[in-house]
Amino acid sequence: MYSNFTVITGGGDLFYIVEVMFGRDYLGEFEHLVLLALIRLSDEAYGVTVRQEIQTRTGREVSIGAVYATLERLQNKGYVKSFLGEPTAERGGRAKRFFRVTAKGIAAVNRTQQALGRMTEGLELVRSYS
Amino acid sequence: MTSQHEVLSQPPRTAVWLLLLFTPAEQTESMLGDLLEEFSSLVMTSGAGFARRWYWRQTLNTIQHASVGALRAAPLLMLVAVVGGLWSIGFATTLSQHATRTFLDAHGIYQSHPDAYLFWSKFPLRLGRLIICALVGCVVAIAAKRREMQVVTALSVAQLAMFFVAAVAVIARGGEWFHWFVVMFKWNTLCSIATAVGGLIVKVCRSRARKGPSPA
Repeated sequence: MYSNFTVITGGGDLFYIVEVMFGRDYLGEFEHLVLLALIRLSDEAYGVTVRQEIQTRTGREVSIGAVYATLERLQNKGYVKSFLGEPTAERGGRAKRFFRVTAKGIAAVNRTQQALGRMTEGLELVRSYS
Repeated sequence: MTSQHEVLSQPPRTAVWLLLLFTPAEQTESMLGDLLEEFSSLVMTSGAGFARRWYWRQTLNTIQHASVGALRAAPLLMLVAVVGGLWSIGFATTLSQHATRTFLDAHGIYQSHPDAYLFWSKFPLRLGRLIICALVGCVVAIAAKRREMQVVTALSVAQLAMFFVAAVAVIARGGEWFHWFVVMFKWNTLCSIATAVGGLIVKVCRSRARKGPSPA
């Protein structure tokens, strides 16, 4: 679904300037991680997989409550949309809630990546702080 | 009859109940399904004990996130609910005390039955305060909509905090405070619990109305 998705890591394009002019906020660290997990998981993004994806890739313990609270916040901002799947027996007859990143969400990820790129540009972090 | 193994391979019932109470109703269904899915796989791979401990950790972290999230998302609602709730409890308690004493004085109870006067001017008023607290808990929970238990818990904690502030003032003044403290601590704790029970009733009713899983 997001195979053509590319994260812009530098430069100040028109899109970025317009977003900044309208005062759009950047993503928080965990919001950023959750959106990246949704993009990675594509059609398979729901509570369990998002939690496991972040835990596996970052090595930090993540609670399902933190994932849902962040997804709700992102949904309120219009960065994510959700829909219910079919109930299954292995889940006690409860349905999965799948999540998808919207175009606005992808723009927010791009914007945050650009900001991070600018902040780390020219820094030799490993040499400076190891 | 359910075997011990079957019980252990189910998520802890208290944890499920707490999740039903403290998570927004529209998230509960999918969140419980997610936790059950991971719990079942952990029972198979790491054993029931590990899975149950993991479930409890997830539950406590989830409640913490839901509470902090509620405070961050609607700080004004929290403030209004706590201040309004405390004021309502204080106002209704004072009003009921005034009404009861006016009634007792009007009927000359003190002159005819002093023991009965002492009884009616103390115990029923405290009992009345418990009922007022439960009712205020209900009203606050109804007004809080999706954050019933978070708001009602904040109100309960604020009630206890107010009591401890008053207790510090009484103790600082000196004199015989120990008996007063024990009696008032008992009643104030009961009032806080009554407030939480009021919120709990509203949450359970709402859960049932949604035809979803019920916390009861």
